[in-house]
Amino acid sequence: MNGIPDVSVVISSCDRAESLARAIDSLRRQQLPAGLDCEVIIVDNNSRDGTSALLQGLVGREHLGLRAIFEPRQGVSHGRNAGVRASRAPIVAFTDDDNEVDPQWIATIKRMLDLHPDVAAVGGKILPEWPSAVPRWIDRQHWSPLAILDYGDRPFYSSSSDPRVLLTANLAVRREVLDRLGGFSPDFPRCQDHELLIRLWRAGGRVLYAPELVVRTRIARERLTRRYHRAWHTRHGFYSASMQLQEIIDRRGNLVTAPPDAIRLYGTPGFVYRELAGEMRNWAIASLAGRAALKLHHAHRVRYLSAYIRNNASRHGGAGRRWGWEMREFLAAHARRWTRMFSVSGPRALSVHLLLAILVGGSAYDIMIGDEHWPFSPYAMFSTVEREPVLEALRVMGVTREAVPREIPLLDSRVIRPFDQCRLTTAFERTYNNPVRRPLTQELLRDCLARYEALRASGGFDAPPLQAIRLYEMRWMLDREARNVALPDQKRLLAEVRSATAAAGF
Amino acid sequence: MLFTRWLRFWFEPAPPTNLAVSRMLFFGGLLLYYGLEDFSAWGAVSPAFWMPLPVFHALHLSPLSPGALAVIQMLWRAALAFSAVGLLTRLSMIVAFVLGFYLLGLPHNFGHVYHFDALLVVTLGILAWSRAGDAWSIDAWLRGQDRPAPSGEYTWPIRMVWVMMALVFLAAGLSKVRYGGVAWVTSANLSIVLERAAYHVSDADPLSRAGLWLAAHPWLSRAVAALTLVIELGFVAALVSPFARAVLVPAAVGMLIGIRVLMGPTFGGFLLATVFWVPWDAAGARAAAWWRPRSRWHAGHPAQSESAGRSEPA
Repeated sequence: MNGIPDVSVVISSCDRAESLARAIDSLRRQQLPAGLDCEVIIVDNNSRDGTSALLQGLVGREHLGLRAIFEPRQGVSHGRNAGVRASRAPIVAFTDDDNEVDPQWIATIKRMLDLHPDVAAVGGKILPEWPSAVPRWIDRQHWSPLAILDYGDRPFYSSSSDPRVLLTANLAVRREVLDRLGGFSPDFPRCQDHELLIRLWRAGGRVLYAPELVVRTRIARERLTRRYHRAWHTRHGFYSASMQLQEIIDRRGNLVTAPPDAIRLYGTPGFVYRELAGEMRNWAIASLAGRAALKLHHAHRVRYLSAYIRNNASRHGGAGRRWGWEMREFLAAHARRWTRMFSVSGPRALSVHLLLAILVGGSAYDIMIGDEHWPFSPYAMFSTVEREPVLEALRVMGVTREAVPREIPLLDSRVIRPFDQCRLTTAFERTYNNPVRRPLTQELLRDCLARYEALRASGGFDAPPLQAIRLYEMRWMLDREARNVALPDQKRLLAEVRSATAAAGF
Repeated sequence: MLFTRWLRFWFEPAPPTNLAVSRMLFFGGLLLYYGLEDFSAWGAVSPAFWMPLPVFHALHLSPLSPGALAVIQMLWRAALAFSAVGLLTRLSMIVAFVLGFYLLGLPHNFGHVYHFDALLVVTLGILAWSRAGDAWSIDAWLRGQDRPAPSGEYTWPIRMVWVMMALVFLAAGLSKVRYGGVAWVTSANLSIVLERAAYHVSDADPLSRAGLWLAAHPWLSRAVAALTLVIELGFVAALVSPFARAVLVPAAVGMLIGIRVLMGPTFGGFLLATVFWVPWDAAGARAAAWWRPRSRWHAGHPAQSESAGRSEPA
């Protein structure tokens, strides 16, 4: 032994004398193998409670080589950095003042780092010690605010290709790595461990997750309230924005060297807004499904992302940029991207959407009101339910100019050109059944007769000349073989026009 | 994201083949279908028959003289022919739309509004706005650019015709549900409609007496009614699902042909719009592969896949 310990344990504490005493107790119970030497450095981070008195009482009486130092600058980063500066061992192990470490904790740290000389740090589980009553909504998805960590019983390397975070409540880092990285960033009073790991991963370092390395944390009752969780996620979102956390982890979960060259609105990439919209949708779905825990989880994600966006916006707004201009630039940048992606210009895409709106809007309007505005239509033909096997229809009949006059139906489109049977009878229906138009019935018949004779004279068809043309209302009882097409059950003359200067009669 | 999916639906870059071949077939088919139709006769019909459509009324459109209509229909046919072969394509398609709107709409101002040609007018309008003449056209050949790069310009017109056709079927299905309800299927409704068709109630008489046979089998006619409703209401699925497309488009074509055969109403022009549903590039590539080893048709791009690994201590 050369007087330099193998492991330095650093705890930064502020106003938690009671739990700090328990943490030190757990360190006192360490089972150290022969030859393993350690020191414990407690940093009083400007406490105002009995921490100072507690430490004065313990220093010198502990077999762990406990040292107490005072760090006046508030913040756990300052506290831990002070502890690191005071440490002498090549391994610096961190835990928190509200944690109790397993008896093998220091021994495991030393063993793991000796076994894996390639790793920069080792971390492990942080298991909860619950109070007697735990709200039902607290499930695994709500562990992060409680600083609980359990990635299971298989070890893995946390690295830039698998940047799962390990917390400083149970983390030991090689001293040389800490020196190289410059310690914890004072800019991060929260999430400083995550920020340190990001720098470590970016430097190519790996952290071993060792499941046998365990600390336990007493879950305080005040951390089991929704209010605490809401506040935690808001804070977490705020500091994550400072780390650009949403941007530096790619879709495959890899840590990237720099944030992507994404289109940003108020300093935040568009995909973060998309993620926010997705979380809001999931929250709504969970609410409708009555899944309270899931709903709360998504609500927290919404809160986290909102804080993320707000922090970015407040930092971005400091540049004095105009908000409207920023939004316009955002939309323009997207339009440019879509133009590149789809080879269609923005104005062109807009005009296509305008055309689409006209076409779909016109169709949808007619569908809704059930009315017709050609070329749009509700396409309501054959949509009513026919209940009686009868047919009532108007028919135009010609009276031949023969010795024995006979009536022939004017159905063939050649003789009623340019009309067809359906169009012609509908025209008569719309005229005869409309009191305003009814006087025109004679004129319609006269026109039909004139066109018949003109077509016949031009050789358009071979049929007898007509002396008159009549409009009938007919009624058929439908026959399954349609044998009575020419023999309606009822037939009522509505109007007649004679050739020459024919008069009409009813 | 939903918006990106939306844009991808409309503007997914595609080679110009599908749109160009559809353009040729659509305009060519239209020319053949309306080649013998004489719109000039409407100029000689008594003004007493004139019951203008709202759009004709709003635009102050009225029937011209038979001579003027004959000239217009000649110009329209020329525009259809030019559009089909791709000569002065953009101008031809605009002329085909403007004149087609007037000529195809004109008969509907004389008492009865048919729906058979509404989709054709809409499709003409869509194509007039498109770059359907960028390939497989005389214009492209003259420019020496017969194979332009894939672009969203060649996707949206096809998709828009799809959407409009899906809306037609959806509207028809919804009307039946709205005005007929379940009874449209479960009652003797279709049997009665089929029997009525034999009494000269449509623009044309049924092509066969099979409708009467079907009407005499109530359960069969109810099954046909149910199938009709399924096709009409389900057709929108063809917009997003290739499988639904493969099933529903032929089913819808069969339904329209069935209506013509059993009931009389003619959807010949409407059927022309189904050319936009055919993946001509894939069909052409398959045919070309069958005929000769190398093809000038464009093929799709193979998708790339990526995988990421995770490290784990030994």
